Amino acid sequence: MPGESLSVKIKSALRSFSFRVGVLFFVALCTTLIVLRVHIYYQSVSTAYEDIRAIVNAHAEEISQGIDKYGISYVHYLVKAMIEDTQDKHLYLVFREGKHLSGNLSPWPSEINLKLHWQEISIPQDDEKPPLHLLVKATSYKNNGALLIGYDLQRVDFLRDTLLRVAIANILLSLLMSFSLSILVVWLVNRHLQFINRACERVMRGQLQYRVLVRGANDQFDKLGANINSMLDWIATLLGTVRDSTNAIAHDMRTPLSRHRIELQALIDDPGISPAVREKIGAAVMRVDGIVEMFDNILSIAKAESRTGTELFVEINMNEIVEDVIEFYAALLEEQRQQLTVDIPLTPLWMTGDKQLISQAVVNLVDNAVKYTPEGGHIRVSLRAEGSFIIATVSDNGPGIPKQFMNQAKERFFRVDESRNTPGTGLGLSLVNAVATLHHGTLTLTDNDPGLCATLRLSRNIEVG
Amino acid sequence: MKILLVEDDDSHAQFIVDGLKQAGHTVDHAKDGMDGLFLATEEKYDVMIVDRMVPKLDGLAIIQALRASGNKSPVLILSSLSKVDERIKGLKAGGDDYLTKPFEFGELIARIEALVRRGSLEQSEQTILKLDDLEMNLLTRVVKRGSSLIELKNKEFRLLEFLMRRPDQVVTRTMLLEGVWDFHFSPNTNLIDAQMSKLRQKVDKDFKKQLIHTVRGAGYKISAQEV
Repeated sequence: MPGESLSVKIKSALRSFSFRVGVLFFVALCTTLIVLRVHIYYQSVSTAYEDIRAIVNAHAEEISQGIDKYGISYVHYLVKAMIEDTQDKHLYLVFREGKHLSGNLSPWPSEINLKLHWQEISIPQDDEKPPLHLLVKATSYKNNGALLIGYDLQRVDFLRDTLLRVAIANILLSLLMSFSLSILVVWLVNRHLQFINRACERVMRGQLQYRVLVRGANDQFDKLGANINSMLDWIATLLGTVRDSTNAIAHDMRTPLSRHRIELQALIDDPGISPAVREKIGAAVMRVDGIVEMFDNILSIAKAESRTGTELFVEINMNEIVEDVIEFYAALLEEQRQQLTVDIPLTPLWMTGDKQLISQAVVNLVDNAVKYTPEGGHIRVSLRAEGSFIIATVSDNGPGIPKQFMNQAKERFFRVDESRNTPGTGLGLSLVNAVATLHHGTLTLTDNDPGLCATLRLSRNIEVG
Repeated sequence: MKILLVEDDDSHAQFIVDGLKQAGHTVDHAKDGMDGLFLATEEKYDVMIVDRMVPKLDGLAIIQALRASGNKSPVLILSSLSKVDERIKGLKAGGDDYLTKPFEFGELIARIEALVRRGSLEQSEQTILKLDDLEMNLLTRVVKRGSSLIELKNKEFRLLEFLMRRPDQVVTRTMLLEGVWDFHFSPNTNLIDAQMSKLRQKVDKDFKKQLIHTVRGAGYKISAQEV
């Protein structure tokens, strides 16, 4: 919506359901990917270790069998033979007996701990080569004898490095993808919901013919949209029925009333009747007019409340409307010696609205003030703009409305008991309230201490069509 | 005047026919839309009064058909539908005026007369309106009675202009509400009387000859002749 600050927009986006779904989707996808990558990493590395251990163990077994057969000194020979035979450059064998050392690693690595079965050691090398990283199995024999079978872990290290790099790249890529995907999901969900939300908002604003766009994809959104559309069709049918029947009632009621009124009027014009009778007939004519007025008001209220009445919305100058109404009442105000203070800005306040209904609302407010303010009383009419609203206030120093009735005063047919003697239908304020609703605004009644202060708030920029 | 009335309610129609005849007019009455359209095309009427809702053919359809065939006789729509949008629909369909039931008989007569005279009066682009010794300059907004200036407020000026454009013609309170204030609802019509009495004080009070007259049961009339 226009006018909202960026932080409000962001906050509402964070609260939105689709955003939460997006985050959930993102987190779930990332967790799965990370678990998978870690698993692959450990599986591959541990398999590589297993292979190396198997090679080392196979040699250890062979040497152990040699010792059993030929005694410990045979190992010097065996180690040499094995080194010569093997094509595996990664295998390291060293046998120590006293100070005698045979094998392809020299000197005896100092960090070997003969109490540990398996260990990883790192032996610095000359010629700027990287240190030798070995997995070592060491076995000790009597008389300071010891056997070391080692295997270069270069291959495993390379595998580990590669896996780690691939995993990181993979996770980063997946993060990026899942992030984009969740944004796409959020966007798609939002887009579909927007069609529905937009339609609902338009209908609430009174554009009852507006429908949700159904794209024909036959997914849940289409189904929801189609359901909402059928519901709106049904509501439109019901409203149409109500409208047709009110029109029919209006027709069936007005024609006999019209006949009745013409008859009564003809009697008044009859020279043969007495002035007293004439006066009574005159009162009957006024009652007929009262019924018709009440009927008109109820129809206007119903129409304004249903917010279906935006077809007559035009650009209107509120200053002009208020000034016209004041001028309309000026003569009566003078007659009743009521003081009037008018506070209207010099620049015209324009808005989109139903001119007749707004005029009638302002007339009703001023009429109430004039009717209930005693002779010599004071009435104040003001008009101002506040943000995207126009605010018209009519206040008086008459008897006002008792606090306990303040809320009821806007209901249909409500009248404070004491004022039953004053002519009126009890529909004036409820019409004003309905007009406010139609223009996305409010009618607020407050105590003017003494008197009543009625504040009519109307939205200036209502979208029509 | 020769008037056609299209109205389905018999007794209501009878009152209107009687009233119009008493006022010296000739009236033909059609009970439904088909008869109405037939009479309207066969005969030449000065004005037609058409109910909005009549059987067989809707009131608006009659008017549309007549306008489409080039018939330009003024039409007053009589309706039970008071809402402004209904009124606009009626006028858009080609109606010239719209009157909601129930109405004062004086209102009906005044509106019919206004419709018949409208052609000659409202199209004229006069800038000076004159009646007896009362003169109104619409451009300079100066109003004079004889040699004395009359100062009028904005709406008083519009009110006098409305009357002066319809000399010797009855103007009803509703016509004034609609024409001068553009109020298409019925506020306290006594207020029109208060406005008129102020206008009369300014225009007539200090002069021997009264120009603004009250027509009982109908409204007001501006005329140089005594009523």
